Amino acid sequence: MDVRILVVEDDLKIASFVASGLRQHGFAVDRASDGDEALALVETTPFDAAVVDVMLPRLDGLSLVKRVRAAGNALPVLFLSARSSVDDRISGLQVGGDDYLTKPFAFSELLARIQALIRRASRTPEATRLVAGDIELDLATREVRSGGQLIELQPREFTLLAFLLRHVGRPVTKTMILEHIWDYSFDPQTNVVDVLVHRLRAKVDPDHRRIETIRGVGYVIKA
Amino acid sequence: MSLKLRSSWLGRSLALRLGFWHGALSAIGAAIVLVAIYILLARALDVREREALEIRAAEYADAFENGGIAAVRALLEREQQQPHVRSLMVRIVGPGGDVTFAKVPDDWIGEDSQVMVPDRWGALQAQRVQTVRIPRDEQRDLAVVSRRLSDGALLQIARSTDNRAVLLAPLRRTMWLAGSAAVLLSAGGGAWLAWRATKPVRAVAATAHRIVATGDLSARVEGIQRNDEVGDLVRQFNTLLERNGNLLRAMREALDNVAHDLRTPLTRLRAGAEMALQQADNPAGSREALADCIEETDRIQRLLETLLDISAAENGVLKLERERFDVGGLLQSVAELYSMVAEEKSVAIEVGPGTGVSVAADPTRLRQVVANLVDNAVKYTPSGGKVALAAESREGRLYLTVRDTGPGIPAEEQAKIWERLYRGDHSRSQRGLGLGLAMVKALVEAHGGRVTVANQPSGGAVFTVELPVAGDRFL
Repeated sequence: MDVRILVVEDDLKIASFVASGLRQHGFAVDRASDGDEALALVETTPFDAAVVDVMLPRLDGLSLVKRVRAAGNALPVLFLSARSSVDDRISGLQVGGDDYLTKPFAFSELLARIQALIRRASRTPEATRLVAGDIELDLATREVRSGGQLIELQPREFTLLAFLLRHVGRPVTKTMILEHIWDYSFDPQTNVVDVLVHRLRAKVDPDHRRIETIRGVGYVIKA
Repeated sequence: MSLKLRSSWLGRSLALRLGFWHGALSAIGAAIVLVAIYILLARALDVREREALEIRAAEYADAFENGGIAAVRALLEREQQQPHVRSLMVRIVGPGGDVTFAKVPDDWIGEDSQVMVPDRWGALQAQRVQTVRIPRDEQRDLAVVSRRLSDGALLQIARSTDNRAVLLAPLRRTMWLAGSAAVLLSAGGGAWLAWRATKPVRAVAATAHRIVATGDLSARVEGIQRNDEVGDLVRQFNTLLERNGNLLRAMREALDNVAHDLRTPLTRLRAGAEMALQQADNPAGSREALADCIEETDRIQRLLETLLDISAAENGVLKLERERFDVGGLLQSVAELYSMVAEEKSVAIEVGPGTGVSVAADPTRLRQVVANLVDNAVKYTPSGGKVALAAESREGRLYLTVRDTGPGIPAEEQAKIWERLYRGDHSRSQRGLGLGLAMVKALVEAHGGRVTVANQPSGGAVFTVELPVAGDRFL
């Protein structure tokens, strides 16, 4: 069955950009341009996740999610907001949002976050063995092989490889890596991510066949 | 109409209203006191007069008992010329109401020698004092003493109360004058005092009016030197104005900075997009240009967020999530973050003593402070150099130092490096927004601390962050 996602966004350009991107990645997408419309859709259609802009005409995003939660619906929600203050993030999570993304955002980040939400909601047990082509990583034994060769990785390198492999075929942004590997929520004004990727590449993918740099977006490990 | 007018000016001036009420209340007070004095005085005079009359009545009654009417007449004639007897009216009224004897003072008698005295006196009880108006002269009041004689007749002695009136009239007049003067004085004095007391309030209102009318935020309430509540109001009002002015100025500056700083990256963004459009026949080239656009967008976003954060920290609106934590751990984690970048440059990062030193601060923000300083140090330290982090606490202050072995910072630039978008290397050879140190300064100062820079004698710069260990007044 299709995974169905509701996109609630009043800016038509952003809405169609998000919707078409999600459709390209195999999701079924419904769109609503205000809170009332979204509420009506949520009541009639079972969605697997929703992307909700905080600022909406009529019923705003926070109130919308509050109502959805009040009706006993556990629909995973990712908030989009033009404001980045910590307070907004907190109030978004308080009304029952599951995640929060600040505009402007990279589509790959939105996608990764939605996939994480859906995975969390469906409680899919994570595979202990992650594979991309001839690169294999075993989360249980912490062994990494490339072309059958056992490779020694530093802890950060291991975490980065596992992170890339979980998003195999889909780009991850530098921000996502920074947050995931170092738990940094601010811009360290440095190319620390580039350096780490460079080192990982040298060890597991010296020919640059698997780990690809997408300029302006981030990195992707190809299946 | 006139009432409306009055209530409008009364309503508008607090001092006048206070003066008015002060005057009204003191008028009531003065009236009560003066009327009481007047009544007491009048009563005392009355009592004295009655006692005098009682003595006369007893004297004449004695004479009557001893020698009848003839004796009374003889007594009266003997004493006729004495002033207190001349002004007396004496008469004896028989039980049937017939007058058997009468002496009336000369000045009581008008053209007619007949004295018109109401005849009802016969029915009255003896010993009663009564004031009876004589119809001939409306102005005249009498004090009368009656005494029953042994043969049943009534002896009456009366005296005009004119002399009493003569005494009381000037008193009344004086009281009126003094009372009105006191009321006017208290109303005026009250109004003046209230006017003086409300002067700072008027000054505050005038300043507020001026600011609203002209938009001039530099206006302050001046010339009020008082230590009371109103003086406090004025000082707080001025402080409020000062703070608002600073906030507005900072907001304007931030907006100016943002507008200015966005022009360059926006121009590059636009150039990239145009390039992508022009290279329709060169997919690789247009992809390259589009990637540039995205990078430029990210740069603009970072610039915006950093500028807003700096402004928020500078204006005290940045929320600090303070908690007590170990500074050594923080230094380690920052060193770890930059370790690979430093390794690539062959720069060593050393973490000196610092374990066990704790501080009450926002851990994320302090990490950002240290990260920015380390980032800066690594950037400007040449290959083979060293960046050293250390923390120690002395006398309630935390001293956090970041030393490098770079070229140091020329003395004339040391004050400028904290400015937004200031770059030491004018060639812009190092990447970054040029906001790192401005952010450091804003965040440290938001914590109630300060940050300084100096050159070490051995070369290289040393940045020192000084924070109150207790988290200042926040914990």
